[in-house]
Parts: sequence; C-alpha cells; structure tokens
Amino acid sequence: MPTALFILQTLLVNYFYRIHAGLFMFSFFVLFGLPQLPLVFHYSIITGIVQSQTFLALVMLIWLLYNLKCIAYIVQQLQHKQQSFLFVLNCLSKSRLYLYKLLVHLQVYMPVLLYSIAIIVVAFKKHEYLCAIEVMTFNCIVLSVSPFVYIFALQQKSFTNSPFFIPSLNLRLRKPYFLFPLYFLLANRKQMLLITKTFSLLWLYGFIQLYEPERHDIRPIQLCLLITAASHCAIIYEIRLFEDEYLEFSKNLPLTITDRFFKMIGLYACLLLPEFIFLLKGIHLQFSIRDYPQIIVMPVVLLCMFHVVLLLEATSMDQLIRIVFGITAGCFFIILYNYGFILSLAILALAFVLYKSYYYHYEKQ
Amino acid sequence: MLQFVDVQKFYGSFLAVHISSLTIEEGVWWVQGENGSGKTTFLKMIAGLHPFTGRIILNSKFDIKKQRRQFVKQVNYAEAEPLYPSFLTAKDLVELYCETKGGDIRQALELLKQLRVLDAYDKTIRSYSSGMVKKLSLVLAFIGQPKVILLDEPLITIDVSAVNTICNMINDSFKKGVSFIITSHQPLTSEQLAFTGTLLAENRTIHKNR
Repeated sequence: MPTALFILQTLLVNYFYRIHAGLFMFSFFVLFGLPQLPLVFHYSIITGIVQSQTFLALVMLIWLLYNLKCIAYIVQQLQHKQQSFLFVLNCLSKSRLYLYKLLVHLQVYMPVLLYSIAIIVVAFKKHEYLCAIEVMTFNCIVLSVSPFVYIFALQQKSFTNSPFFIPSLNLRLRKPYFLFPLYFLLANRKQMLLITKTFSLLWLYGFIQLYEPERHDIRPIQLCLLITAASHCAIIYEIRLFEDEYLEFSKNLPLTITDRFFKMIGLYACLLLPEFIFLLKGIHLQFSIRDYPQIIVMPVVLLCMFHVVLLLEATSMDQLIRIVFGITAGCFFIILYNYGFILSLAILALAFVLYKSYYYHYEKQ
Repeated sequence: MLQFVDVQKFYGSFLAVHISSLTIEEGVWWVQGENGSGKTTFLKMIAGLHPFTGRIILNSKFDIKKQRRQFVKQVNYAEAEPLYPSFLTAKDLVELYCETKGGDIRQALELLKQLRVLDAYDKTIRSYSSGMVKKLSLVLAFIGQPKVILLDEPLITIDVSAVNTICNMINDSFKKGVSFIITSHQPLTSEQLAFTGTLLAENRTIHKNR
C-alpha cells in the first residue's frame, strides 16, 4: 500500500470506525440482534424498499444524512491543525489524489454500500429495474462527488463559498460563559447539530401526530423524550472534547463547583429549547400544562448525567454509547412506575455528586 | 507565599513531579529546567488545572483543594501556548475574566493598548496571529487582584518591542505586591527583570537553586 494511502487509512478510516464503534454496535444490535429472524426481517424491509418509491426515498434520505456525517467528519479531520501536514498530499497528481480520496470514502461509506448491493440484488430478482437503477445512480453520485469535497478541504479552501456551507449566526451579543459550548456547536459542528435536531424534532413530531392517548398519562411522552435525550449523546461528546481542548483555562476561574454545575444545567436547557417549544404542540392532547415542568426536567438532567459520565476516567464514545443505552433502558422501566419528579431529582443528585467528585480530578488523556 | 507539602503528580503510573517540601517566598521567581522536566506541570498544578496529590497552600491560609475559589482568585496563569475558542473575541474573554476575577476592564484595555492588540478587541480570535493570542493571554493573567501570577514561557511568539512592555508590566505589578513564577528559555538580563531567585526543575522535582 502506498504510504500516503496508509496514512489516510490510519488517520481517517480507522479512526472514524474507532470513534463511531458504539454507534455501529448499537445499529447492528437494533438491526440484526433484536429481530428473531434477521434475514427474513431484512428481506421484508428490502422488499418494501424495492416496491415503494416513498420508502426508497426515505432510505435514500437516511443514506444521504450518513454520507453528510462521513463528509463532515473527514473534512473536520483534514482541516484540523494537527493534520496540517497532509497538505503535502496536494503534490500528488489530481487523479491519484482523487483515487485515494475515493478509497477513503468507499471505506467509511461501506455499510451503506453493502446494504445497497443487497437491495440491488433483490430488485433485479423481483424485476424492479427502476429501483435498482435509482440505487446505483444514487451511490455513484455520492461516491464520485464526495472525494472532490475532501480535495477541496485538503487544499485548505474556505467552505464559506461552497454549497456545503451552512452560514453562521454572526450575532454581536455578549456570550455568557455557560453558553460557550453552544456557540461552539453553532460555529463548528453545524451539520451535527442540524442532523441531531432534525432527528429529534421529527421524532417528537411523529409521536405527537401519531399517538393519541386514551386517557391522561404523561409516561408515553416521557419515554419519547428518553430517545430525544439519547440522540444528543454525540453532541455531548463533542462538547466535552471542546471543553477539554479550549476551556481548560476556565478551571483557573474562581467559580464554585455548584456554580459550574448550574451553568451546565443552563447549557443543556438552552440546547433542548427547540424541543421544549415544539412539545407545546402536544399540550391538551398528550399532557396538561401542569405536567410540563416534569416533562422538560427529565431530558435536561439526563443530558447532564451523560456529560458527567464523560468526566469519569477515559470514557470513549464507544463506552458513552453503552452507558447512555444502559441509563436510557433503566429510566425506561422506572418511568413506567410513574414516580413523578423523584426520578429526575435522583438522577440530578447523582450527577451532582459525580460532577463534584470528578470535575477537578479529570484530566485529558 | 506558596507552600508545597508532599505534592506528587502522576501521569498514569509515571511519577512526573514529586515535591516533598518547598516554600516559595514573595518575589519574582525564574523556573529553569530542560524540556520535559516538569516546569509546565508545576505551574498547572498551582493554577488548579492539573490534579495532584498533596497540598499547595497560599499565604498559609488557602489550600487549593479546600478553598479552591479563594485560591484561584489570587493565582492567575498564562499558558505557554494558549488556546481559546476561535469564535470568541478578546472582549468576551476580558469581560469573563473581569467578572470572575473581579478586575477592572479599563486596566485590561490599557494593557492591551500597551501590547498593541487593542485594535483587535472586538474581532474574533480566529483572525488573531499566534503572537496576538499570546499577548491576550498575558493580559488576562494580569486581570483582578492576584497575589501570584504564573507565566509559562511569556516571551515566546511575541515581537521584540512587546518583550520590554511585558517586563515593565511584571516590574510594575511586583512593586504593587504581586509575585511571579516564570518559566522561560529566553535569556533575560537583570535590567529587564530582577529575579528574586531561581527554581530548578530536575530529577522529577522542583527545588530552589542554592
């Protein structure tokens, strides 16, 4: 293997799978572990995709989001200061550089590609040639365009004039310290924030539209919000990385641990503000106004808990996903017993104790 | 001024620094030592940025672990290679430091002016050069009413004229009762800074040079 390709493979592909190991494990478990007969289950799904254009469009949307995630991750890595030495790859011929980037993208895009091949095979078997052509065309476009984005990034060109650029809100307002991570997300993790919020709000929208309770019960909406909270774990991971890298100086600021903890609560309350506003759509249908505080407190304390978990020694994304899965599963069963505010307060108290114990003992590895 | 009692700093199982007993009196102290001898670790422990075992006490009153807030309010720190979020402006950081450390914005603005970075006060840090970020970090270290200022390689990446300005800032603050612990590989003359003494970082410990 050429050295340049080996370096790209190690820095981009291997690291991509290592960072997202938890996500892949979780997806694999949901897609292949939960169904009793996974092959039959997937054959049914693929048949549905092949025979319904709407279903196919939805699947392509998910693939597109995954592709954007891959692109965002690799571009971010290519433009990172530590990877600035990769600029030397611009000395390679354009065709060779394109080939290397294509190989990189092919590997990170592999899960989608494998599923696409299965769909194409089934489509041909069922003589649904249009579907097969659509899937092939989609993947060809995605695979051929993505390397150009990487080459663009490698040349250290600004994305502000490119079609992939999401404009930033350039507000000249005073930035409160507790909202620094939110500004960071808005400035540097726009795609991730957009994908998370789109998923989270669509999930809430679907639930509020489709679920009609027979009697007053806030547990279903609370269970729904558990998924909303869990879907933010990648964002929380990024916030912790940001704190590690850029906010180390803040440990030298004379703030009490309680003050810091309340600032963290404020941060996550602001992060979940779109969901809280959106939830108002379900008032009278899903819950009454007096239930509202109980409903919104739960996801905020869960996000605080996920954040605190990352202060425990060397918690990787993989470990975080497993812990988030465990906490969510635990809360799922406790919510069924309907303890009201007690569960939220218990999680908050535990998060505070852990925060107090680990905040100053945590050290970047 | 600063007392160290059985201070140990481990990186994993590696003992990086062990100070069994050390007292640093008021003054301007120069920490010397080779790369990797533990100078930055030493400063970061005092600044509250690195966890450690043992005790660091300020003015026989404030233990960093027990009275952290009071301790860090009086101990300011400027990193060797400061890193701030690129979307912030110098104004955001100066206001944050003034609010938490209890400083005067006018004093910070005057220092920024002396170091010729006041023009960029409202600009985001992503437009700063590394020297400008370094100057900003030095100004932030002077905000408030610190008793001790820790400066890690304060003279790297900055221009020659700023070196004298920084030495003047240190000398002026020292006259007002502020002590300094400075690491620097750059040679400094006694006209620039009158050091009280030298601290040596060697053999995984810090001790006074006798």
